[in-house]
Amino acid sequence: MKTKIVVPKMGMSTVEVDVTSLFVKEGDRIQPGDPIAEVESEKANFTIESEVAGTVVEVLVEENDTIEVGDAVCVLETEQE
Amino acid sequence: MTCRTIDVGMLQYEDSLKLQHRLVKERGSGVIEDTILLLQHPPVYTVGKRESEARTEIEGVPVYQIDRGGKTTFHGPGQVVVYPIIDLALFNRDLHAYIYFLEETAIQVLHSFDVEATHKQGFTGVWTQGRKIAAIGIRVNKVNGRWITSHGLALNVSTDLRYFHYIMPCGMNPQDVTSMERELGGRLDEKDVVKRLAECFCNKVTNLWKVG
Repeated sequence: MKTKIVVPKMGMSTVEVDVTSLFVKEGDRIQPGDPIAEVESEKANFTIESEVAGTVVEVLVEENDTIEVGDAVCVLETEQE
Repeated sequence: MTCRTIDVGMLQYEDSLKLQHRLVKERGSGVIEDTILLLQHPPVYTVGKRESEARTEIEGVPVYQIDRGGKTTFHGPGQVVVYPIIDLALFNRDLHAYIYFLEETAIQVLHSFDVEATHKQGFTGVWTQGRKIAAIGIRVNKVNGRWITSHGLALNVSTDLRYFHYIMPCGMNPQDVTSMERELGGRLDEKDVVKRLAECFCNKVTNLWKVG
């Protein structure tokens, strides 16, 4: 099953974040809690982590991209049925 | 829920990272309550995630690449640093609301010393006549499903502002950084500022938990 890792909601007024670091590439195997990307909004730094295990099949952002809350950072093929 | 403050005094930057790391884990595990660290650092430049800095020292002052938000800044004697280790559930995980709270608390303390201070739309930090008097850079740490804050706010009380001349503080002109003493034109006891910051932060956090 494919699962998207998205930028979580961080309050009413945070709409956009900047990708400051990207920790994964296609083919990487991911465990729950592994860091996927680091994003920054208004001088606040936040690491997006995976909540599931799987393999990265698509990376949808690059470092220094500006993306919106709810946008997908990457797609995982999860190991669960 | 209560809140405690710890007046650490002068602490090496590296040691403050270790201390915050430990407290973040303890707060995330529910072992400790919200904790406000107040301290000063020996001279140090820190570089946030938005910038890269090849130099390991600037004019003999060490440079640290760290994991907070924001760009390059200076910490040193005369600057009171506040690192709240807080469960962001208190702010419904709203980063903007938390940063506004940091600014608002510093503004209240500055007003109590008769220093004019305001928010500036679109520019994080606390401002006096268009000059930055307090800088903010935070990190949100996920621990056991909780969002715990680290890093925080740096208020220039009697900071030697010449240190800012060697960098572009938060991407700004170094002339646009100020201190409480510069604005007031007189001497201040940093201990008084630390005391009021501690009281103000702790009262607000305690009241917010009560309101729930």
